[in-house]
Amino acid sequence: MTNVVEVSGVSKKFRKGFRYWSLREDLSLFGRKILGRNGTAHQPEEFWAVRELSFSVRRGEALGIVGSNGAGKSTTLKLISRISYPTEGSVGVRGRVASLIEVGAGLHPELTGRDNVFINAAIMGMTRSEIEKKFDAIVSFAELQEFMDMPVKRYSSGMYVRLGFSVAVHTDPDILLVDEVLSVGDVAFQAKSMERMLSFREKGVSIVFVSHNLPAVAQMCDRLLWIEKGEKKLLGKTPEVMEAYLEAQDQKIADSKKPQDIRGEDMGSADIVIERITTHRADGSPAREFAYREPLLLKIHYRAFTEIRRPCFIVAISNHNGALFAASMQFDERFPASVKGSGVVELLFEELPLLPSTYHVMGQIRRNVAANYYNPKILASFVLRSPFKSYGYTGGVGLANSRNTAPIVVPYEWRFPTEGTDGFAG
Amino acid sequence: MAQLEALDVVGEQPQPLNIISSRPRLASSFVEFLSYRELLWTLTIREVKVRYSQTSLGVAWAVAQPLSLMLAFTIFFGRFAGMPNDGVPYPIFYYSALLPWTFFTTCLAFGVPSLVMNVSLVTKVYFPREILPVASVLSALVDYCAATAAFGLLMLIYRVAPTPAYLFLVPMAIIQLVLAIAVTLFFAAINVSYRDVRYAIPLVSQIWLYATPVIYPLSVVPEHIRTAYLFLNPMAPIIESYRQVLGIGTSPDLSLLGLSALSSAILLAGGYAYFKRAERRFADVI
Repeated sequence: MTNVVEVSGVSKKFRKGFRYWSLREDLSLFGRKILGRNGTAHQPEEFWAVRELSFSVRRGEALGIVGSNGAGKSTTLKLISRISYPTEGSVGVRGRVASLIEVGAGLHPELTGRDNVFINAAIMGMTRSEIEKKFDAIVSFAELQEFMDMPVKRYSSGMYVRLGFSVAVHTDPDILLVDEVLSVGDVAFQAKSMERMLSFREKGVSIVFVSHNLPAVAQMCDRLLWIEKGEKKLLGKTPEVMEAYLEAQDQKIADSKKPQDIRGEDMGSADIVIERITTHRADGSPAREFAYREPLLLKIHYRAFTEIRRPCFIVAISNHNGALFAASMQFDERFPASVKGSGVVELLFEELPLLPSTYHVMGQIRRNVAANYYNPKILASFVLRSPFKSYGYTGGVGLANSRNTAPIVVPYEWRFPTEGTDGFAG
Repeated sequence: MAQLEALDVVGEQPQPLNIISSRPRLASSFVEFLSYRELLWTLTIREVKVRYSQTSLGVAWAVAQPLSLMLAFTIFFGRFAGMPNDGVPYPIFYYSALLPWTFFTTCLAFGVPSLVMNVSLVTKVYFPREILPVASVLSALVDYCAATAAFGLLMLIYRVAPTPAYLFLVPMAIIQLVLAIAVTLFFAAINVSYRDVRYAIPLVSQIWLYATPVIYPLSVVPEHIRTAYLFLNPMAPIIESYRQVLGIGTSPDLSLLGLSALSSAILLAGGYAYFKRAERRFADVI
């Protein structure tokens, strides 16, 4: 299959510290060079945002790029979209590229919504007749029909991004670059945007998707590129790379043992924190892979900085779509009487009624049950691996597809009381 | 999937892999620029709309600037200092020179910061960057047309009738446009890396004004350096031609016009080449 994006041996160097150079700085550098003196003391520090990166995107494929902040994800997108140029190596593309790198770039506050639609669409590479044809669709997607003759400076920030996003998704690209833009607007608009992305995919548009929203990445992408410090760490099918990436993230959390660091994070009350959660088999041996209906034992390592009576633990098992099932002391009221210092609370789920995939353990802890606080974090992950036979399934559903189906398996049976009568015409 | 691939082969020519990171030739850059003419047009309209919707006087500013300078020059340099005027009434003498000159400084004032003013575009979306300064120059053309229309009023007052030589205004306007684009591209590109340029521009245009026959006629420039003067300052032949056509009503010196066409074309090629070279780091340093 043809590659629509080919990135080969690309490196990108930046000067650190200042955004642009002053003439004085450059003149003094130049002067020192002429005089043959070493100007290292004032030489601007350089760093490599991307280093010897090679990958390609096939036609009709969605490639996700994951990595920590500053790993070089956005720089990579900018290199593909021709906004920035590589210091070394080459970037090639086939066809028309549209980037949803920042929606609303180029909206002018003084002009009306209507004017801005035309300007922004022209910036995205649409011709005037194309814009005229799609104008109504753009406006109704943005839900801004009544506001088209108002200057954009009177728009709310939500209206502003909706307009920009709507223009962007009405372009007709061969390759679509998406960077963290699915988080605009309210929940309903986000859902609509995600749907739109998926329909691009169905139409065979190749997509490069950068996001910290891992569920969205998992749902959208066929393959993942994981980069760290500008270098390729792993490139492969989404489930495998996602698993490795999450494992590394877990490790990072486990490594940051300093309680001060964790206190700063929003894991609940600052008086008591979950340091990490580890996954085990029923016999207590650590494990990351489980089989269908196997028990899961979680060890919740907490630290209480003062004595806390009746703290409230909440743990949920989740996938990219959110929590699937949970154990919450809010409901069962099985609080420990009192905790202080470091310790472990164990939680046993008697069975995992799940399809094969990667799952996450989210946890939070509250000073007491009344503390109104909700911001669970992914603290551990595990993989469920079982042959489909063990579910009693005979259909040919592969692992790759199971992430898009309902993941919880509750024993069931079909019944056919009308079989053989007129009601069931076989 | 296999079906799709088969369709691909039958349905369309395989698209060539476009190596976007390699340095393009000037000619292919220009072809690309032309393919973005709709965006150029849209951004030009945007700039005109924004400029006139933000000011209460609107398009009147375009006329007020050369008109008030003309009045000041007429009173102080004309009446008080008795500047030689080659027999042309001072208001016409000055306005005909200020017309191209104001256009030129307007281009610099809006075109040089145009890249820096549109940071969000330059760092988020790809398009040939020269679109931005060129759109500024084209929008200055609207001001220029308004100021030219105002010249009609002066003609009525001084009972000057248009002559066939006025047709030369078209090639003159084109040469002046080429020169304005060349200089604007050059300084706009430098301004991205060195913000000092923004402060230097008013000074440079002030000195350039003195070095150009706007306040004085070309005839006061010593004869032995006049050729060098006209060659080194491509604005000088343009201004002199305007005075010839609008002031005296005769055809401009064609060798003068040819000279400025040549130097403007050379400057445009140089300015564009420099711009395209610098363009590759705009998004990184802006």
